Amino acid sequence: MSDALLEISDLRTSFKSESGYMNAVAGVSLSLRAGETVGLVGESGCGKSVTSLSIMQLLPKTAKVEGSIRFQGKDLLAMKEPDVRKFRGNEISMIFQEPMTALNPVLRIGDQIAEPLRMHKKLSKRELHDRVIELLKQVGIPRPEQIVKEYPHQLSGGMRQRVMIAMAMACEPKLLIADEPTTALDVTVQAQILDLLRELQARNNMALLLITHDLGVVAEMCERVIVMYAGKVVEEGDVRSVFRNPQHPYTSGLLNSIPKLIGERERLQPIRGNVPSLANMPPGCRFAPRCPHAKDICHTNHPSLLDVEAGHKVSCWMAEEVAAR
Amino acid sequence: MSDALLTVSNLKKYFPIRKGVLRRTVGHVKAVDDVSFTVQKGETLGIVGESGCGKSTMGRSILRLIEPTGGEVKFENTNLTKLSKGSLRTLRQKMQIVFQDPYASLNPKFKIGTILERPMQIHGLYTPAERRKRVASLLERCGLDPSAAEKYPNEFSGGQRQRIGIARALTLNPSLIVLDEPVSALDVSVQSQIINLLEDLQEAFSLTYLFIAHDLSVVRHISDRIAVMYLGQTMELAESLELFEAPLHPYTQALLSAIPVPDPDVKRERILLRGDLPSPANPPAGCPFHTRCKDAKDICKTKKPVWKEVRPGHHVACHLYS
Repeated sequence: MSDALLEISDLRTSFKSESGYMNAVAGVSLSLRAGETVGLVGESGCGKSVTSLSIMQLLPKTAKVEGSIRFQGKDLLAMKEPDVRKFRGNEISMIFQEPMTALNPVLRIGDQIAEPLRMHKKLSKRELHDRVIELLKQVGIPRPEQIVKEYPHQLSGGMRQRVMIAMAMACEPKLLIADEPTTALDVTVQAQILDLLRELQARNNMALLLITHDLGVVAEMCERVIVMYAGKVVEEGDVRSVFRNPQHPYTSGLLNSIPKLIGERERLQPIRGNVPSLANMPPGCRFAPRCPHAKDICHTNHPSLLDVEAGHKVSCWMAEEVAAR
Repeated sequence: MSDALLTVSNLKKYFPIRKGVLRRTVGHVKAVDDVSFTVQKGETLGIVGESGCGKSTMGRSILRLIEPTGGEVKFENTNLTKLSKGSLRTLRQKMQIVFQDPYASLNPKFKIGTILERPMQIHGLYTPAERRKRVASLLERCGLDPSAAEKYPNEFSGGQRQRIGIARALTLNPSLIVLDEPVSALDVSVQSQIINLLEDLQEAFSLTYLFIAHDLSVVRHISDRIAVMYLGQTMELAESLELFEAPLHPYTQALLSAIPVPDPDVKRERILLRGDLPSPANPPAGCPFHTRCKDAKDICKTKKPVWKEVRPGHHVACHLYS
């Protein structure tokens, strides 16, 4: 796709450990168009957060990041740190799960929101102050004139997340990466924050990469969804087509293991076993040990990501067999 | 009702707020404020509410893990609130708890076998050989290999640790288990394994559950009846399916409408609540929800609504229905 805003190909992120390198992300390719909302789902340890931190280049030095991450055609991985800084917090910004740990407890709210503006925009003191107030208003914070002088601990969880969003929106980024933005919040607050994200996105024509484990949030917010398992993309496609017609046994397993909100209660159908650890990855398809349909080939060879219908891809030997026929 | 296992009446837990050098009490956080309900033998009562609504405090006050400030808790026919320390300990065999965080609730220095035998030792039950046999069979019943007894907590994943926590709660053959957010820390695929396990165990050992959680779809799935809490008070209590089909309280309606549905074709009317949860140290006068309620009338600001059965088995505290 030439109109891609972000294009990641064959991203491999590994961490050094006593027993060699461990692949947290093992060859992930994905792309986002301007203004698009894409959900990245998976369980803990599937590599979704490491993928986002690789894009932002916020990983520690012990991490090895390979492949390419192109943003508006430029390869972020090939850039030097000072050039990366021109993008980070400016063109691409990020919000995190825990607003309490992500905000600096000893800095006033106003100063924290002003920081990206000071770095990337040349504004006078007056303009800076006005912009901060405007941002706080935009994210629905009451009494912005007083809030700028307060500290994070004086705000509730929902308010802190709004502050985080205001900070991320400061330079009007083209891409916002939201890593579990509502996981730490209650449902009624979650509804407020999701509403706010939708509104800001529409106003600024910003692309949103929403990382979550909550399939409900994906169904509600996203146009496309990417399902990750153990460092690899197992399925990708239009939300409706993936939810209606899941092709990978992991995706359907996830959908079947959530209790329904309407109709009769049925016994849940869990996925057996546990997520494999990084140090102990199965050699073939990484889902094979937990898969109810696994065959011999699944345990030895990894399937490739195949198109099953327009825009709907899956990495599974069952799909390969159908395609070969 | 004759077969009530647990009867909670007017339960209160106030935490004092102390200030100054003399640590004088300047106010109270009303974590649980006048809550009453019964739990029938063999049923699962779900308790839902947002963080800070007092649901965990309530679970712990019922077991007297924290001392309630007022009210009464009756277990079978014994009044727990009046019991001496010694008799309470004996009775605790019948009431157990499973905690949310399977990482923090198991002592990392002890082997699983020791952790599971401990409750039986304390209560002087069984011979050592019988205890070991019982540990092995409980581990197996909870979906773990009996060899787990020889390992330490750090060798297990979150889901497996929660299975251990559940096995520990079962060692004394309890009739009531308080489950305080037992699946909230787990991944979706593991969460459903634990829910199924809890359902199986309930049937096998005729257990009664008090299931405290904030995940509404999980609570709907597992509970027979559900109580909704807000700022330390119960707002509504009804049969699980009825509560989801026809919620009466404006807070319940807003809460249910806020759940994201994992179906891209379902578009629902969402009731967005204004503002944040008021502080439980300074709750609003009248109905605690009136500051955020779309249907609030003048009376809601001054008079606390009474807890009323408006349909058979469906209780609500709201002026709209009085």
